[in-house]
Amino acid sequence: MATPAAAAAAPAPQLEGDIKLVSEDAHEFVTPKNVAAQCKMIKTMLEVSEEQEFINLPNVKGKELEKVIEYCRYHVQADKPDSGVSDNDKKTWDENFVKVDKETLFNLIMAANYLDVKSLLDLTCATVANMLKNKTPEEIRREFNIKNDLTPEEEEEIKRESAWLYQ
Amino acid sequence: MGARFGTSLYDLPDDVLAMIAQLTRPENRTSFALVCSRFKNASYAALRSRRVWTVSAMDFMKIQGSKKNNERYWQDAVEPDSMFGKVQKLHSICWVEVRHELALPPGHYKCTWRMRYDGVIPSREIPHFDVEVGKTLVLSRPFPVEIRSLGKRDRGYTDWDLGEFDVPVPPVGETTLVHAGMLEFSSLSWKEGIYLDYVRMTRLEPDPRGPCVAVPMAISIGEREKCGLG
Repeated sequence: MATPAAAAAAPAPQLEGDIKLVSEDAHEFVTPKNVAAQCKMIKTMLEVSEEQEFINLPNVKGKELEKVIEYCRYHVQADKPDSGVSDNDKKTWDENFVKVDKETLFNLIMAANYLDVKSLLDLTCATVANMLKNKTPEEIRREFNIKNDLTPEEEEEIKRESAWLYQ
Repeated sequence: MGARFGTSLYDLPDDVLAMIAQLTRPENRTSFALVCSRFKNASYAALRSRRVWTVSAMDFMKIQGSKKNNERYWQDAVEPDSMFGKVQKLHSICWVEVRHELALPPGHYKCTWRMRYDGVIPSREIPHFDVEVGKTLVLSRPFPVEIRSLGKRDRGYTDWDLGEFDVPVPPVGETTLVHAGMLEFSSLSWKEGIYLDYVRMTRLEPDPRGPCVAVPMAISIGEREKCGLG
């Protein structure tokens, strides 16, 4: 899996102090602004108004927000040029970070997508792609509880055009 | 985006599913598309955004001779400077033909070969690199003098743009196959020392000059030159 560590190192924002992030289920996380600003969505809000003391995040639950902050906090430190953290160490950290149950992983994808943390979105999507490796369509449907709504004609069309998908 | 929490792969937004489709290994993409209509749409969306197809020379088909003979004519060479770590080295051969087939969606493309050269090729028997779309030859140029002249002086690889071409929209239910290859069979002199790393097809923005001129396959090298292809 490709490490998205480098992508997490967004240009260091000139932000000082802390901001309180409030999740959908009312969990509060006091977070350094430069860590919170790794989420592009939050960074934009901070740039609009530097005086605000808290930001409500109605689409993210506390459990996932805590994970997103953990991810951003690690990469803000690890991606500093003088951090002494190797790319391999970052890759290992990322791999351990996404060792979570499926529900948490999908919620984390939703949170990364909503908060606009591209490197975390890349990491979590690559993890899902890896889970699909060498599985038949039926195995994927069974594992993820998905109903096949393709017509036989559509299935034929995909098989015919699979050369494009294969390469 | 108005995010809503889902607990299933199926609940992820379309653009996220397209990302997953893009990150899925090529051999697993068809399985992913066959799961359900949302995954099919995501796979096709990912495909539409794809712009680059790179094929290692290790995957090329070498046409002449049996497999055993191919190993005598062509050799695998470990080359740290190559994109894939290993390349195909033209060891020694009289008739040379390598080819690879790609199914490409309609669009305007640039074909690029990456290679180096440290061998001997008689000047009257320079291999041509070509691209065929369906059965139609659309590009053909001789092995470039700028790479031939480097010879043993420079072991570095060069990206050489062969040219641009169009892949037309195929009839419903059909796929357009594109062949990229290298060919020379005008004499029996031995040729050696071409190291092929990859061929790359890059989909470009629509060509403002309109579609490329298609040239029939049965055309001599002299005629190719008259058409500006030689």
